[in-house]
Parts: sequence; structure tokens; C-alpha cells
Amino acid sequence: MLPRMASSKLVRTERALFLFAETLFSDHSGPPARQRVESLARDAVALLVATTPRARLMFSVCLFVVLWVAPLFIRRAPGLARLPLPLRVAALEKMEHTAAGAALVLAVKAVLCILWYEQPESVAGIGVDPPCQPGVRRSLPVLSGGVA
Amino acid sequence: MSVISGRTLMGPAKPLSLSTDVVIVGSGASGAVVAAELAEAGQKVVILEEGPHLLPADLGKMRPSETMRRGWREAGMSFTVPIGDSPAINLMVGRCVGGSSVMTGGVCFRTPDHILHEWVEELGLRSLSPEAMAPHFDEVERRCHIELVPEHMRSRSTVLYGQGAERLGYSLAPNRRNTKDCDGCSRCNFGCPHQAKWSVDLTYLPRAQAAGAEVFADARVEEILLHGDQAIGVAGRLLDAEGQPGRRLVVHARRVILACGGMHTPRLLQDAGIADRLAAVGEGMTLHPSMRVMARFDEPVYGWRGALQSAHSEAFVDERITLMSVFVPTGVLAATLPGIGHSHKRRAEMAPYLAVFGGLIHDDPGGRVLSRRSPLGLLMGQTEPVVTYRMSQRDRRGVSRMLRILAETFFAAGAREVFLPILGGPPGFPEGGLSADDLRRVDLDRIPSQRFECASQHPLGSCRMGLSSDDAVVDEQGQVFGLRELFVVDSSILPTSLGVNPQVTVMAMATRLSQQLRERPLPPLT
Repeated sequence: MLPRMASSKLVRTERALFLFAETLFSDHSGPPARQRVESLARDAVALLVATTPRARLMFSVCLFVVLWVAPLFIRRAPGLARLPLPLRVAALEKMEHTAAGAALVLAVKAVLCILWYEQPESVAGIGVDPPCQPGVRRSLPVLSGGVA
Repeated sequence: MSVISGRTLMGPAKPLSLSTDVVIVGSGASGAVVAAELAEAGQKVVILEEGPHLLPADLGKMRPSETMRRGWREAGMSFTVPIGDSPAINLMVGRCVGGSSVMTGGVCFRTPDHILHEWVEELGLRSLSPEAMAPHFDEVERRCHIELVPEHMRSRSTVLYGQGAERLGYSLAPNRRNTKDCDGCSRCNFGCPHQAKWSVDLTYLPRAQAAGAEVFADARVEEILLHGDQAIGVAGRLLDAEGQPGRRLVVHARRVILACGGMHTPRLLQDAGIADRLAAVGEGMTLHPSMRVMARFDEPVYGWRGALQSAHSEAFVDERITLMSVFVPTGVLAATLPGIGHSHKRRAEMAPYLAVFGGLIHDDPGGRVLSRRSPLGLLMGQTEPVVTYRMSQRDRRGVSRMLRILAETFFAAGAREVFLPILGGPPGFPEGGLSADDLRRVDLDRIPSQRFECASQHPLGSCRMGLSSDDAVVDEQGQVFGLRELFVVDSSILPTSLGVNPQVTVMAMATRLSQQLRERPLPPLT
């Protein structure tokens, strides 16, 4: 049902996600801590592995098209990885402002943002409350035998 | 008695073979109801659920993305294929014990009377009159603790929207939800960690178990077993911890009941060759396309504090629009605001100042579940069904109208700018945010529909109920035309869209059908 991704593809996808995430979450002071971005990219790959081959394929197409094509929007040669961070930001921003590019950018951005803003330090950084804490408060007849 | 996970039964090479009176495929809002009713009537019931069993305590420990991974179909990454001028719609469907009832906001509406009248008068479905359905609604509401959301549970986001609505001459009404002691942490779409939402894994399934039903999680049905024109069971695979198929599962049953929802019930019927004689299988699906508008205020809103969905407005029902309070997770909110790098951070920092309100379209039947053998099915539909959607022109106009109402209402409430769900921003406004003057200059009807962000949690009507096999799949008893002992009880049988959240309709229909099934003699095991 859910064929595993080949490890070479996983590594390539993780690198691509790292590049996008480092650009997306950078600031005037530079990119976020490398460790956090690496962890985010790993987390995103884990999410992709849990979905179906077609969803993975669609996502991968969006990701690699964005990384390849985005520099064209600022009149640079294809391949986002070749650009310094400020130009990467400019390229993705330009692409996001176009009707055709916005859907592709959003697909990648949505997955990364969902994962990034689950981290307590990320939500705290933008003034949002942390998620509620778990706690079972009532005694409804819960089915037993859950496997999480 | 406990939920049996397919993961724990993987060992032996020979198939796991079971015999029962009734096998129910799917443990969501409809399957759970039928399971409880039939088990309590003394029938031996087996329930097969493809997804895992997620306990409330586990849900609380999971991050939202982990819930997506484990409890949502395709980890929440399912989309319709747009046909013509239509949006690609994100389909969010539960895949766990309790089904989508675990992942909804808990909003509960009875089927509107005008819809039931339409079913009776235009489609001839006399057993679905408001009078006939009333006791089933009562029963469901009693079992699921359906209550009004008190005003103090409204988020500031909803309160502000309500103020704008009052200024424009319409009002919000409180939602009813299947909750008790909810403290409004807005996590409903990722499973309630507090057991405050009375989803069917906390209500009907324990009843079914107490009456002897067996619930299998991680058990995927792939095939309906037929003997001539009679259903005699189902077969499939047990799934391991990573969702990989393993040991074969065969359940021989005197009666087969499909309750796996608007996307997968037609899929099973198509795979069994039943669509070859019933043209309506997979056709005429409705989705309630849903959108939301975000608005920035000068004051902090903290829109996540309060009930996720506390109020609605039926002021535009005549235009086939239902407005509904909602909030979205921070990550989604930040992603849909334009910006990369510093501009992204600046926009994300607006989150505490953003209010959100949404709406859904009571849509025409533009959806279609493609067969695995269709060209697109061969290409994309081997693991999950492909759903195409053609939005009608009437619905497309409804989308423009709905977005304008939502935005104007926020401006009436004092919003500084609004963000419409348009990819790349409205034409001429790539930064996304619109002032009230900007909004007046944007012609929403001229924006290609593919640029709208749109979602649905309500795939309905893909195996609709009717009087004839010419244009329907099941009869008024839920039996598939031309096949004995094969029944459908889920959202796929609804004859039209509803214009409101369908959970109570689905459960009430399942209650009615199960009461008929209880009285219907079972054939001998084949």
C-alpha cells in the first residue's frame, strides 16, 4: 500500500526541504539554527513517508520545481541552491506572488509551517499560546486496546 | 473486551478467517451506530477499520502533524482533480477507529426540513420525511450529548465577526456540538485529548463492544465477496505499524454493510464490478466546498482561545451559503499568508491579531469517484481513489458572494485588512492584504477557480439512495440494487448535499436503517 521511499530519494528530499526551510524561516539576522532546520526537514520527510505514493509524488514535484524554477523569477540561472540566502528569499517571494507559482510554493510552505509552528519556541516567537496539555478528565467508557 | 489491532495478528502466513452474522466495513459515524444497534439486537457483529485506534490520552501526546500522519487519510494530503473552472479541493477525512467523527469540530445540525421535503417530494423518498426522521435525530442527540455552545465559549474572533454581522443586519446563532465540559482549546480537528467531544469511539462503539461486537483496527477491506447476486463476506489485509499490508483477512458474513464513506464505498463497489450495472456508483458526489477569510485587527484577537466552531449564520441559506465560525492551526495560518524570510516572520507575528471566519457552499453534485480502471485511476488511483470535481457556475458565483460577505462583515467589525483565500493574492494585490477600498475594486468572479484555496470534510452522495437503479445505488432500506445482503449506510447514500455539517444526518440515517436491518431475517451463512 505504501511503498517506502528509496533512501537516496529520502536524502535528496531532505536536503531540498532543508534548503527551502532555511530560506523560509530566515530573518534579517540570517537563517535559524542549523540543528532546528535539520530536525524540521527530517520531520517533514517522516510526514511524507506516512502518506501515499501519489501524495508524495505531487509534493516532490512541487518541491523540486520550486527549487529549480524560482531563480528564473529574479532573472537568475535555475537552481536555488546556487544562490546566497538574500537572493533565495527574493526568488521565492517573487514566485509566490505569481498565480502559477503560488500553488507550488504553498504546497511546500504549508507542510513546513505546520511542523515548524508546532515547536514551542516557534509559536512563542510569534506570540501564540502553546497547545493545550493532554488530560483525561471524565470517565466515558473508553475502548481499550489502542495502539498509538 | 478491546479493540483488536491487525498489527498484533500479523504472524502466521495463513489468512485470518472469521465468520459472523454481520460484517461492517468502517467504524465511523455510520458504522458505529449500526454496529451498536445490531449487536444489541443479538446479532454477531465484526467491525473492520483500516486506520489505527487512537486513544484520547495518545491524541493529547501527539503533535497535530502526528495526528495527521496517523489518523487522517493520506496524512491530510488528498485533493480533488479540478475539471473546468473549479478549485482543487483538499479532502480531509478521518482514518482511525471512530472515523471522521474523531477529527470533526463536533458541529451538529439536524438535516434542514427543506432538504428532507426535497427528498420526499422531488425524489419520492417518503421514509425520509421530517416526521419520520425526528425520532432518529432525538436518539442520536441523546446518545451524543448534543448541546448548545454557550456565548462565553466564543473566541474573540467569532465575537468580532458577530459584531460585524449585527452592523450589516444579520446575526450569528450558537452552534450545537456533541461535547461535554469542553474548555475550548481549539484542537478538535486533531482529536480531542480531553474526551470532551463525544465522537463515536466514545459513545456507540463501546456500546457495540459491550453487546459483543468485535472491533478490528488496522484491517483494510479490499474486496466484497459475492456468490451470485448475494454478498457473502469481505476480504482484505491486516496492516502493520507502518501501514504496510500483511496477512490476508477473510470475513464470511450473512450480511455485509459498507460504512467507509463517500470516497471508499464507491471504490469497493467499483472493484466488485457493481458499477458496471449501476451507473450511479461514484457519480454525483457533493463536497460542501469550504473557504475562510482572515482579517487583521488593531487589537489582539487570540482567535485560538475558545471553541473551534461556536456559531454560524443561516442568513444566506437562500443563496446556498452557510457561514461558520472556525479557526485554523497557527502553521496553516502562517503558511497561507504571503511571505518568505523576514516578510514571512513579520506576517506570522500578526497571528494574535487575526480573526477567521468561514463558510460552505450547498453545492451541486459535481464530484465523481473514478474507477481504478479509468485512465486517471490507472495513473493515480491505485492506492487511494481519484475524485474529480467540476464546480457548477451557480456554485462558483456562490464562492464569490461568500468571500465578499465574509470580508465585508470583518470590515464592518473594524478590521484593518482582510486576506482572501486566493493563491498569489487577488489580481493587483500580490501581498494578499486588502483594505475595504481594495476589496471593492477586486472582481472575484473573474478570478480563475484554480486559484482558490478550498477544503472539504464532507464527501457525500457518491452512492445515493433512490427509488430506481437507473439513477441511484441503494434503495430506501440501504440495500444495493440487484444484490442481496449488501447494504450501504454511510454518507455516500445521501441523495443531495445538505448545506450543513452532515454528521447528525449520517448518524440518524444509520439509526433508521439499522432499525430496519434488525428486523430483517438473516440468511444462512454461505
